[in-house]
Amino acid sequence: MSKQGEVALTNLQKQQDEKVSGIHVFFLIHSVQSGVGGLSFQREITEVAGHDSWMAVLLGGVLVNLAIFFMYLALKKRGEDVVALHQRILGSRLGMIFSLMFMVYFISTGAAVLRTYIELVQVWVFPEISTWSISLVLILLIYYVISGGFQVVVGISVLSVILPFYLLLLLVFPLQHADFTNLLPIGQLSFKELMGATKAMTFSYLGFCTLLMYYPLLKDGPRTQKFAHIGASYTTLIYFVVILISVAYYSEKQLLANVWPTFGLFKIVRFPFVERFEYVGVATWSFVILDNVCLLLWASHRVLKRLWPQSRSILFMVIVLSLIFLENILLTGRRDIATFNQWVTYWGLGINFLYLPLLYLLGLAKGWRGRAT
Amino acid sequence: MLATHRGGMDVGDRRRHRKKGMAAAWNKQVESERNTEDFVYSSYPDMLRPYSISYYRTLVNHKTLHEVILPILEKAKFYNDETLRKAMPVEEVELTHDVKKAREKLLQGYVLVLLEKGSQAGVLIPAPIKIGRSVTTPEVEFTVLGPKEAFVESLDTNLGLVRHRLPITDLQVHHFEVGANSKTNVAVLYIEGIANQKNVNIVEERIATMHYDEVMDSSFVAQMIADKPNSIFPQLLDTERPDRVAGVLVEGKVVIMVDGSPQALIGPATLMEYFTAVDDYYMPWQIASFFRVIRLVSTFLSFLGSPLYVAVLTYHYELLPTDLMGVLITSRETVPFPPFLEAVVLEWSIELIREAGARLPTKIGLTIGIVGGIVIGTASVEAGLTSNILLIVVAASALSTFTTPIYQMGNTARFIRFPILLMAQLWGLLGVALAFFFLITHLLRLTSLDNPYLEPLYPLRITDFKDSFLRLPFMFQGKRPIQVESENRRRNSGEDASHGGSNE
Amino acid sequence: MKGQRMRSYLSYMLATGLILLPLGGCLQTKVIDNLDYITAVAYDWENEKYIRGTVAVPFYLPDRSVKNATYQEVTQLSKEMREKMNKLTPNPLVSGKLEVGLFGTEMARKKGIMDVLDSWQRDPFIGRRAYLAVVDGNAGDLLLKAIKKKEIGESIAKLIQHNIEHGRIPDTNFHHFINVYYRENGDPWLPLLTLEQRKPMLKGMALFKKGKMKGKIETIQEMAIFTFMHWDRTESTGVKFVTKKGVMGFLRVTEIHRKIKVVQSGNMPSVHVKLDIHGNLEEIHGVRQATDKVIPELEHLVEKELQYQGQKLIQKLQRWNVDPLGYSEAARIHDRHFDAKAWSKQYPHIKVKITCRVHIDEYGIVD
Repeated sequence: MSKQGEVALTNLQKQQDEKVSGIHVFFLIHSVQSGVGGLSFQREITEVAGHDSWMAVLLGGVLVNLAIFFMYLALKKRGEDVVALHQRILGSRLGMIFSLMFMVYFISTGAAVLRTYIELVQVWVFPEISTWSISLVLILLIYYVISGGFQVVVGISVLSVILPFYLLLLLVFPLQHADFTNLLPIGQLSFKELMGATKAMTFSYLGFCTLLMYYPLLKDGPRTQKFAHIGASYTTLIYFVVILISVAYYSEKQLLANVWPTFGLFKIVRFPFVERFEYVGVATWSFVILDNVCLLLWASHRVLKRLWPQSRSILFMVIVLSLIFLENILLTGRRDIATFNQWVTYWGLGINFLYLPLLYLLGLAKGWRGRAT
Repeated sequence: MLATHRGGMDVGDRRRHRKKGMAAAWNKQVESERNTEDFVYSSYPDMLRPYSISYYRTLVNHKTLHEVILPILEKAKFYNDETLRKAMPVEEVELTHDVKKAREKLLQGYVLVLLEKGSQAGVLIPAPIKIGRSVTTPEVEFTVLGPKEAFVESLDTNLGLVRHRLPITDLQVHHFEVGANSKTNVAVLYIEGIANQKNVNIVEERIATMHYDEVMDSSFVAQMIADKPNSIFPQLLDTERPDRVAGVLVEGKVVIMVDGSPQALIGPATLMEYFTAVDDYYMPWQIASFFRVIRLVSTFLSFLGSPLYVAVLTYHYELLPTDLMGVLITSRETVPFPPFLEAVVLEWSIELIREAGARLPTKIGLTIGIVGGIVIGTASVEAGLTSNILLIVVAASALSTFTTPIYQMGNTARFIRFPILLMAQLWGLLGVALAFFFLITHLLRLTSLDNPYLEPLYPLRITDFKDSFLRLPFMFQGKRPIQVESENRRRNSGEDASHGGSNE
Repeated sequence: MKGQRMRSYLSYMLATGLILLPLGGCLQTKVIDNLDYITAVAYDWENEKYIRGTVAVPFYLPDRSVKNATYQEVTQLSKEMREKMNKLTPNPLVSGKLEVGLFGTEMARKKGIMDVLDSWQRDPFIGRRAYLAVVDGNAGDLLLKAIKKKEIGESIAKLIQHNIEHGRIPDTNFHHFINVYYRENGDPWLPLLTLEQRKPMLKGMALFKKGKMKGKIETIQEMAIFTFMHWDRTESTGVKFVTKKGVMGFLRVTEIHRKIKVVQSGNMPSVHVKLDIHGNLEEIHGVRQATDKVIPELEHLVEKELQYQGQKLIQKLQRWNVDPLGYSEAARIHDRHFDAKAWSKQYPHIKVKITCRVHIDEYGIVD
């Protein structure tokens, strides 16, 4: 076992040396954003903002782009990652603590995504499937990806954007039963509602702060910014299309009654040889969430490697994956999972839109002070 | 001329070590070879200049022996080994004092002439017999259009075929000898200035460190120098077509040829290349692209066909529209097995027919295929052991795997479906998706000569799509693919682009 | 080299694990020929607490013919019914291929259908394309007495489907019903079936107020007018007209433009419906002149006729206090301060004015 561990480690480091080109940032950003959030965000935001919820999608997209803009501003000067940023701005002790906070954040987000998907499978396809067996299989797959190094994680991101693309084309079917007057009258929501919906929307947009970890591994770092923005905008566009179709296809309260409205859209699909695409959709969605979890766990692993370069990756991965496995088993039923997700969302919100701007300002202030003296 | 000169130097070196001369040492050797049936040793001690001649009867060309070597020995005036060497009108005549070397050379079809007086060196005269077939039409990679010549077992012939298509001095051929027993000649071909030296170094390094006693075919080399020897995917593309080899050489790849093997190896290879037929370049690009897409899609469906059947019929009846379901249920009405067993049995029998067909001579093989296919298929449907719809699925997917132009990839495609089938039985569509995910991860981890295997999908290189999923016109092929990291990216540098579009 | 080998062993271990693990989580198989599919289910009123459920299950015979089996149970809950019936069937009953849900008139009027549909909604295996219909009389009888040579569920579904596609009734299925039901304004509608000579027949429309049936439209004429006025359809329904002069004909509608204007005059809103109908004349009786001469006059007469009939239909709807034509929705769209409750109170009394323009574009291949 120890021998394999060493081997996996050397391989990991060897592959990490190879950088990826800019276009992959598009996939990395987009794929980590589209996960389980895409299944139920309509419900979350329509609950607050009613039929005008599409505004929250757009506003959320703008905010995400803004956040990415600031991330690049903070990173591109020195081409460093968030660990180095922490060390520089907060000092080594405090920086380490905050870097660890990121690590825990990545792991918990990954765990939340994985558990939500397992619930999805249990509700939609196999009510009798045991949580432990499916989570163990998924965890093994994730390990197989991550032990291949960053290159493989990026590759999975690319393919899991390309392969499930056909699901988007299937949205033509609910369009036939859609009634776009549901969107009228436009602008019936208050500012407070809009803000509330945007807050709810961000769960579906989160994950892009993995950029803070893989930035140094990009070829020609600063130049990749446009791909990052295109990636985030593409996510926004897809969510926008989905919310428009959802609001038009469902009536408002019907939408709220659906736990996973996106799969509800696939229920109406019918081809002469196959119908009811939600089953195919659930299977295909495994691609969408696995790449998500892989990237998040890779990022957490990267934090560890940056803090303690000598540490043993395999041990870390085994511990993290067992923790996730435990979490998967311990959370039973929708209420537990929803609570856990809620908790992760708040955390993510805090990190992305409170902590990071603060860190940025702090860095800026330090820069000024440094220049003054 | 150069080689003979070097041989002379060699002799001078050894003379210092051996004073006794070659003849005495050789007699011992002859003694030990007495029982070898095809070893010939004739000594003429009574002549003016007594000499002996030894060779392996089965390895030398008797025409050369009787019409060239023996008359010279009768007639010519030679006094020592050096004059004999010069008198012999054959290339690469060598002098040696080394018994071991003489033995090795004899096994390669040389004739050893020993002057018995004094401490003369042995004269090694090459007279190897050329065994093997002549160049024929390709059988594995047959194409309707284009050249109809294929590699044969002789390395020299094969090199000639390639040289003929690439008459340039930049074409480098490096020789290696591998195999402790087989002493197989391996040639590494690349074009200097186009191929990336990094790839060449990897190939040469790996071939140099190969340790195995018997290298019989290029596939031995392919398996031994592969990046991941335990993967079921071929990582070096094997071809029997000189035109393909010439094409990829110009693209900047490295080619490995092995003596005794009609298959050349091409690296670094990508998954997509296994779906390109050489035909594609001989057809209008629209049609070629269409055929290529057909090949890709059908191979993809071939290993998803029966797993999807099993998954849907075992777990996801909801997916089937009512009309189709009626048909499926009717066809399965009398089948006593679950769909999985049904599919495995049928896949198994298709493999059986294929394997039997491959082992038998062509004509009988054809009969076996037809008889086996029709009899097993029809009878099992009539007996109510399999549903006829599954029969269609399995037969169509078996057919699809044969569309891959590279035989090795077809084998892989046929093998993959069995694990996926098992996953389909266990977890339905989810199982198929997870198995597929595993497959993709494996492909992502796979490299060919340290180059990514899934290129241009990952790393995503849009420009390389011009000759992977599609085959765009030569107009767009002005640059070599990024994948090979060629040292000279532009094709036709310095020339007009409309001329000399190479066939790759 | 050695490291590489170790690593590929690792991947083999993983692969084996992947395949072996699901064995531990082995699942209940649902092989298609070992299931009994409920393709049609009918719910009837038994008494205050109980419902009588009838299901039709097709059996596919090897010679490609189909037979239907029917089972009947009296239970309180819809899912409980299936549990009970499983004791009778050779294979487990599954609901994934449910095509039609039928409700008896009594059930629909007294109990409402939402209790049943709650179980339908929760079940991920039931398709949203399934059709719902009300049966004039006893729904169970329709399944029990209909000829069982064809698959009952599918044949009813096809019956409804082709009538939707050809514009005789507005679009309807399980999803549509739920969709409209959940709206704060507007009321759902369902097709009304009956058994005619042992065959299901589309009789008209059943109109609902939320989950309960309030009224029905039974004549072809009324159905055509209903479809005209309904927001869902834009083409292809046909209508018979009889003018006062005794001219009778059949108009095939090719295009309808509707404009619904809600005017808030004082306390009471009033609705103005403008219909712009393009159509082809397919049959005409009682005209002596060349057809093109009478067209302008005919158009005018048809307009009058349609306006009159539309008005009558709307009065009926108002009397039942149902709004399947979506006038409240039309009001909501343009009113930011729309009050759904106030509207539904006012609805029976509001004034609805219909203006109709008819354009007869073509009149067949003879003059």
